[in-house]
Amino acid sequence: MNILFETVRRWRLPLVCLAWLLTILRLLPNREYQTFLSGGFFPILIAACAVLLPLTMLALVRRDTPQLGARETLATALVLLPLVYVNHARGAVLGSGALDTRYVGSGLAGGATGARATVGGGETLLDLYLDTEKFVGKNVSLVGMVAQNNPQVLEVLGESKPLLFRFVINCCAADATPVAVILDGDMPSTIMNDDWVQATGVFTVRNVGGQDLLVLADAAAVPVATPREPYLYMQWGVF
Amino acid sequence: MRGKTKSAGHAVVRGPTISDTLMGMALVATAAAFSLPYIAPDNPVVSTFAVIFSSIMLEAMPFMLLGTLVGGCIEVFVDRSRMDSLLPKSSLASACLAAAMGIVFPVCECAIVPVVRRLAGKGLPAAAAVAYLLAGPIVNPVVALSTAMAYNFDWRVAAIRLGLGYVIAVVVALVIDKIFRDESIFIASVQGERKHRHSAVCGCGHHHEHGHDHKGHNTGLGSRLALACNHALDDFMATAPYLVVGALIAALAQTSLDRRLLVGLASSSLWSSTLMMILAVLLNLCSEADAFIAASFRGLTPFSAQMAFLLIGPMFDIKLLLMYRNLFKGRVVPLVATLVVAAVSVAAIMVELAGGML
Repeated sequence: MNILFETVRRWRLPLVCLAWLLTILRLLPNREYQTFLSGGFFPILIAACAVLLPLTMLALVRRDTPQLGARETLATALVLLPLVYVNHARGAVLGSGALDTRYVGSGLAGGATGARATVGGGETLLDLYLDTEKFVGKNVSLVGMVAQNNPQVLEVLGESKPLLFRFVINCCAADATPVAVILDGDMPSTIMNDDWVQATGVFTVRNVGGQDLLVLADAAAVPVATPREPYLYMQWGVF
Repeated sequence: MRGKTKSAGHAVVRGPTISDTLMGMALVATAAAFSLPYIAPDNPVVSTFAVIFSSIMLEAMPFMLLGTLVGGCIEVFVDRSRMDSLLPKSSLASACLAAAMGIVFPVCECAIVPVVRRLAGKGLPAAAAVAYLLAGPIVNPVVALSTAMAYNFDWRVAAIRLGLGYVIAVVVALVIDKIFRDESIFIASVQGERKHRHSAVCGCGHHHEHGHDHKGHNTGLGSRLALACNHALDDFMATAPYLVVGALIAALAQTSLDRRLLVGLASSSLWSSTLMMILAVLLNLCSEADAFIAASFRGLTPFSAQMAFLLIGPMFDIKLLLMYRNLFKGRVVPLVATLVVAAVSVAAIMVELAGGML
């Protein structure tokens, strides 16, 4: 028991630093960290590794090791706890559950005129939010997740219609804001909550009860694979 | 974990203290948090919680690490007497100067606590420490830019945010300084450093007490950098647990809080600022990103409520409240929080009264 205690006491600091270092390093290839953060965090994560590396080495060679009591055990466990969740959440994305608590209607767009969500390529849901007038009346093709039975849609429309949605990230998933359009058309019954689809239709804005709703009329949808970048990111270079 | 006292040569075993009980509960809660992803791996709520908790930690940790390294460098390279000579003697002047330091040294809220901890150890006056702590994450060019961007490049919003943030930080700092004129506001470990004494390990590899400009150590750059990293390691282990607990609570709030409910309540002007302040405290957003969330509430809440959200978040949210406990004495933390809430409320009322200018 004493050997175990002494081992934990001696190696807990190097273990904590090394675990964090390896976890961050694992997220860097293929920009896997974009499950959690915006793309601009790459140099910041590199800087974190640059700090963690000497800390790990110093923790390894440090001759004096702090005592290990209940307080230190708790502190060590707490610092390691996020790594369990990072590992669990790798590849996961915010879905309809997060949408239900964050979506408060189409008024909650990014609202930053002049920003571009996409650079080249097809339009995204964020483009529609940022430059609504440009797309009204046009046929558009959008990729997003589907949310059935969204309470906000039910409240405003009085009937259930599927939403096509994605989350926009400025810094990290904690500040994710949903952008969504109502899909008005015959949807395949096989499409379930959180399925990724490519939806096509005519983009319109309908005023219902004094609230402007973004709608994809005559919408059709086909299932697609999860995009490499599941979130949309603001392209202003802050983060 | 059972407390023992000796009485007349006999060891008397007493029951667990409140502290023991709380520690035990914290350990059990941590164990439960460890097991949750394994108990319910496919639960969408757990998955959402995991993404948000991980995001907050991965966003904050690099800045906190950089903050601890800056703090370690301050400890080793900054000469206490030089800092004394650079700082103004009056509380007002030092608070005014410190509140504007973010313009030159932009530091976010996760990095600023370990930096202020080391600066305080070097003798930074209480008023200056509080002013820099509160204003640093708001009064800086990165926040000005992101705020203006979020509000369609309306620089008036950024100017109001930075101006009010500066004034609130200085006022709160001066009030704290006035109340604690005769005693330190810092916890014992910071005070110990202020007295130039190390009772614990300094990272030099041995226990000792010494004058603390590290002149007694090897003066080579490599040795001093290693010493700075050792201090950074200590600060990392001291501050990170508070950050984790704050992030846990914030992720829990983000997962469970229905913003439609909040918007419904906030449509009443009486409650809007209060509710937006509560939202800011619960969401624990980075000051560089929170303006985009505040801007998304345009048309749903008054501008004064959005400004209250923008002002209070970088000064006082759950993770900061917990991290402040690693810097300030217990009763200072609620006082700072109360003063910040009061000052932001007054600022929101002033913005409301000045309505129509935006």
